[in-house]
Amino acid sequence: MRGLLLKDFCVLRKQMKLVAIFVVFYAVWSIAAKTPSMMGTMVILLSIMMPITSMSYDESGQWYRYAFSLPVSRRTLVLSKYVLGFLMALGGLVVSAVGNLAILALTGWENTLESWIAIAAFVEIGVIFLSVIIPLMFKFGVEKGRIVIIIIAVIPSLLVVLLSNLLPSSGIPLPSEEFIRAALFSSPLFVLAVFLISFRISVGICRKKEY
Amino acid sequence: MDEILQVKNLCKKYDGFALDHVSFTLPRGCIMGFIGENGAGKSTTIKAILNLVRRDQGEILIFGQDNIQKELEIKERIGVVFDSLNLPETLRAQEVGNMMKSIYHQWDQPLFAKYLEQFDLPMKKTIKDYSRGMKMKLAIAVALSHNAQLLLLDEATSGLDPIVRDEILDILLEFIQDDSHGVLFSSHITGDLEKIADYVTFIHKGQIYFSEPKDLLLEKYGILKCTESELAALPSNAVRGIRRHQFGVEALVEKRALSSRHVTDKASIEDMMLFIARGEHR
Repeated sequence: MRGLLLKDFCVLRKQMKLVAIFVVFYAVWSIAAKTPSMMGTMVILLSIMMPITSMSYDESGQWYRYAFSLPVSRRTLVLSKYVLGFLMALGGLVVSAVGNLAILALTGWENTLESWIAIAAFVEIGVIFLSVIIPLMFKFGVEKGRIVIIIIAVIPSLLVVLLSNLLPSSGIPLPSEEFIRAALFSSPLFVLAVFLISFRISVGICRKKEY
Repeated sequence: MDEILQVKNLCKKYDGFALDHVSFTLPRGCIMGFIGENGAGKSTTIKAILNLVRRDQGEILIFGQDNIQKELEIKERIGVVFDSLNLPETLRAQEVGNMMKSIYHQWDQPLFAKYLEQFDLPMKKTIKDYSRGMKMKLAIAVALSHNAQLLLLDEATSGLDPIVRDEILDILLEFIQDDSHGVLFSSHITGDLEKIADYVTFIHKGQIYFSEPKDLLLEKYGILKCTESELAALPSNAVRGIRRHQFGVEALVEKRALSSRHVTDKASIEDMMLFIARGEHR
């Protein structure tokens, strides 16, 4: 497990250096564009992409057949990808939180709740995204997985558009502030549960697969 | 326990291809050459041994244990080299060592360093900058640095120049000096096998044609050059494959089934492969 993560970090070395440059770039842009949360959200987006990048490297280098010739169980390999995803999300969260504070300190802008909610929501959406995409990548491979992802991404977006068109005229009341507050605090648990379920599914997929 | 690897009645069905009751046994202290044309089932067999593909039927015992029930224990003690080095190209040999240290319980870092030096593999260069021969040698160094007893090589020498191939063969011969070790070595470069193999197993269209000691095979088969009428007069159990030329007929024959008046030429492993896979049969 440690060996697998070590390998992933070595593979992602270049990408992580790139992200470090992006952090500075987006920080400057955030200040120039007067949107404090922009840098944070971009950093999170980039770190969430890391496990996917590592999986596409794995696939193109035929890593899996080699990894499973070593004393590495299918469960351990899958676990290593979820741990990588978790570490990246956590890393993204920390960097963007520190970045946000730094931007606020530099500019003297008001410390708003919105910017923190934006960062938290981005991490949660990112983790949900990983929960959907990792099993698909194990099942279909990176290339085919991508197509499936696009199809899957289209359905919820259509639903959202449809709902937002229907809601005002349908008479369904918009959620109350209390509801939103409750959702905000309970959502990390929900996200974590989704992540764990996704892990179980991936293990099942990987065990059945032939390499 | 004399056998290091036993494959018994292995079956695996795909669309348009099947391993059909593949059986062979590799004794300890031996190198087995596993030959067959591309698509004959060599890699599928090796993948089934490694449990990378599920078998439909049959049994595979490594060190006398079932390859699926004791999968991880077994994999601690085998070294695998595929036709390419499947490690990420951005890694350096040093990092490969660090990584393997936490994967294999018995990883021997000083031994790995010794092999890197012996094979002239720079520690600090990324794998990307290695030549193909260097990459394969790195794969072999990894396979040899954790006290493996069984080596599985799947086309590990294909695409390499004769010098590197020869070096690799020497490494295998050195490995087999310990007679508790064993090597299964798939290749279609039959010359390599003729140099080092103790046993030769020939697979063709998913079926094992023979799995025998190499010396016995070389003794058993011969090539008979004759005319059509002479060929027709041969006992049918003697002929294993026929090839027709402009000037006559050549047949791969079992020498002991012929009378002493027939003079045969030596048949190489490659001849056996060609006659059986491409020749006519009766």
